[in-house]
Amino acid sequence: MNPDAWERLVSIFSPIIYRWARTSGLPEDDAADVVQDVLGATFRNIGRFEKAKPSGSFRSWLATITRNRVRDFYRRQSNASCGAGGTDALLRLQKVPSPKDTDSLEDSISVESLNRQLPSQALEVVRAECEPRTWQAFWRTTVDQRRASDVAAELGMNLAAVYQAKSRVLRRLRKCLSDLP
Amino acid sequence: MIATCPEITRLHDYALGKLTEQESDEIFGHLSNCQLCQKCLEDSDPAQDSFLAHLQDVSAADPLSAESAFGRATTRAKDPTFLLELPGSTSNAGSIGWQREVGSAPLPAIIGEYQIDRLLGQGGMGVVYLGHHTKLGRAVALKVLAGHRLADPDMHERFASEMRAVGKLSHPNIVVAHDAREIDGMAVLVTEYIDGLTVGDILKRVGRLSLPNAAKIAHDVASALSAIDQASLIHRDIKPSNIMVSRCGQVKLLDLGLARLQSNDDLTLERTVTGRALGTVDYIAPEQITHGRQVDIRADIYSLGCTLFKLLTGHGVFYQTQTMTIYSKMMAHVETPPPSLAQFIASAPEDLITLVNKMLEKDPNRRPQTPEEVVQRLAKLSEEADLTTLVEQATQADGTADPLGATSPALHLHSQSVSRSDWFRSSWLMWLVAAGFCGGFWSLGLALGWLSEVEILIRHSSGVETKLKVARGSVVTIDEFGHATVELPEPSATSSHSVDRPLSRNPLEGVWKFKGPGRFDGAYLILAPEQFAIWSGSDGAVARGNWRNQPNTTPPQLDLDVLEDGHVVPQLGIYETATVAGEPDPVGLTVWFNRPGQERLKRPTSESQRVELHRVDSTQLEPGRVPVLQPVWEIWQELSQQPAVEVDQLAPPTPPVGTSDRQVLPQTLEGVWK
Repeated sequence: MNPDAWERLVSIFSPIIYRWARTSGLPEDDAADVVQDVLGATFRNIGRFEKAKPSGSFRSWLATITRNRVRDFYRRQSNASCGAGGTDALLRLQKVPSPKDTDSLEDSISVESLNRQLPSQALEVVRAECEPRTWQAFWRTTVDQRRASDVAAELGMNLAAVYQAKSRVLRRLRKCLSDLP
Repeated sequence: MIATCPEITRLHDYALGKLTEQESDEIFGHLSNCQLCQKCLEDSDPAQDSFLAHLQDVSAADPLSAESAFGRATTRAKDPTFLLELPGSTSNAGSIGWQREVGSAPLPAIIGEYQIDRLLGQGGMGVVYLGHHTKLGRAVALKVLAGHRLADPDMHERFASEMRAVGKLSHPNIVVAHDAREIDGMAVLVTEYIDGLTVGDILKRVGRLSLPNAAKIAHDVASALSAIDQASLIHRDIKPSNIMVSRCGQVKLLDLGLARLQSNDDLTLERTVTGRALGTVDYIAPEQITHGRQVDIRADIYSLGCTLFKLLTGHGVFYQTQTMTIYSKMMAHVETPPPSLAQFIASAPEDLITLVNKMLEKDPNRRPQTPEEVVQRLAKLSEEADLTTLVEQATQADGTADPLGATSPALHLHSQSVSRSDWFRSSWLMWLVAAGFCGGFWSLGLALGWLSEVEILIRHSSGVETKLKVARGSVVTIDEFGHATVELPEPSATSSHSVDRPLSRNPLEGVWKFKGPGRFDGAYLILAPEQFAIWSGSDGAVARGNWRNQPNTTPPQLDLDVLEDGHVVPQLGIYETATVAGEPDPVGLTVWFNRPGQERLKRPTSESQRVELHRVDSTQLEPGRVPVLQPVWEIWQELSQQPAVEVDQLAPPTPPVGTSDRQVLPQTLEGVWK
């Protein structure tokens, strides 16, 4: 994986990981640590996903390790002493307080949740690569669903240029999303 | 430009970004000049597709993304060297930022009690000045670490504690630290001044070193590492630019205690990925890449091996082409078998080749375990060293020598015959065992020996052979990543077998006879080597296992209390059962260690779920983590006593626990499991 591809992957996935961690109840700094940990693990394992793997395995893996990191956080909080023997530790484990039970973490940190969030992350990435006017032409016609000729008049562009802007942004978005592991 | 108007559906595809760039440009060319198509397109309101619908759902800016922690996390994450907490850059790599900083800041005239005489150099870790103590007159080197670094109280404490530890060390091959303090928010390290050159500079000036000189430098650094190890410290950044040779030929190791400070350095954000760590990645141990924080002195031994390799050959271990990136180098340390020194130096003595090969082992357990061992093996080889002359020659050289010296170009060609995927494949047994043994959680694969067996010999592309005994009729599936799954056949007669070890590529890794009551008699426990080779046990043995979580120790230690005549057993939990239709008892188990910090989720309820779990285990694990664990608590009730593990090597002396302890485990287990 080249550095550019890595940066893009980070740009897309790190906000999602961060959001997962925060919405699971982690404080800001711990959520940032989770992002770093998960992406560190991702970096180390990226070779496994660059090979021909069924699509989606990367995403479920990402969700799985994020869930684990979030659980680690709660466990650390409840597990003051490490290294204690098994039985005691097990008993303690059973009492681990967590604002999120296991099942709800499975729901909130999931591939489905990831897939739901990917388009908006891709939007952010593509936005950064676009001329502001191109972006505006796309946004107003596509997201705000306004008439292309109105948008063209507002932005001082001709109609074909507005369509070209919309077409170009959407093409990039599709490509950005389809390139993701 | 398209002469005839395109179909309206094609215009829609264009507007929705579904066409290729070239197709789109053609349509655009037409559209720009065709009022009719423009009107058609606008009036027909391109059909919504699911993708557009998604975008329209996108809500306003996410408030979480405005949090400062978020920005920090994502910025850091883009730099893989930061993610992996690699040590800092070399003096060559990260110097640009420093030059800027130095250029804009006036040279301080005085730092504490030290008068600054001149700038000695600047490197990844900071700026170094030559100075002298105003009262004692003693010449010192003052290393000023990054400004504002100590604003972070954690970093402040870390600096203080590292320096306290370093200050206690006294060894002829370690630069003496006189003082460490914070001045105007800058961490300043005052050390003895060495009049000489770094080994990195020497290499640049005179090219690769003679065998005795290289051996002598590595010998002395190993000796320094021995003292570092005895003080429970780790250097973490052994490389030529951190080793100095004085004019009198004394070898001095620099920058002890600084590597860890570097890793959280805010300045890293300003450095480019490639610029920052390229120098260091020539010498980094695989576990520093894969485990980050959890390394021990054996990582330094690896880095010293890389350094020795560089001194002897003039290039790094994974020197292949100029285009090798930081990524490929890091992956090579983790996955590519190193070339043998013999490929580059025909005259290298066998002892040296073997030693370097051992130091460069991926698995820390297969390296020399202590620096002392390296010291002893290098002693004889370095007898004819003459470092004084070497430094003299280097000082006189103009610094433009071919860094590879007069070596033949043929030396640069070495084959990397084993690719990454081969390595994955050869490590399949580790995966078979149900997952990463390194770090968070360990589990053991266990298959019962109740069937007549066949022996399978697996010859890995690396030349290593793995013998595996499985029940007749089993299906062993090895996937594209080298992960193996064994599906057991329908049970037939019950029998018990023992299997010789080792059965895998790692001589310590093996399938061990597992003894327990009832149906579990004669089962096999498949173990990873590093952690478990020390066990001993036999029938009826009971012991307690305790985790010792030590920072800087990898893998985590499992303390085993040995009971009675050398019998030990970890506290086992049953992670997963393998059941066969029509059989009331499970035919296979995966067991795990009872350890704080592990996860329990669902239990498998069907064979297909079990298979799925195996698949998940072996394909989706991050090394060192087991995301999905399936303890099946009830099974313990069938095990009226604890199982024991039979091994053929006695544990290192751990104090035997009295016989009364024998009762402890079953009793407490009863409380839990019933």
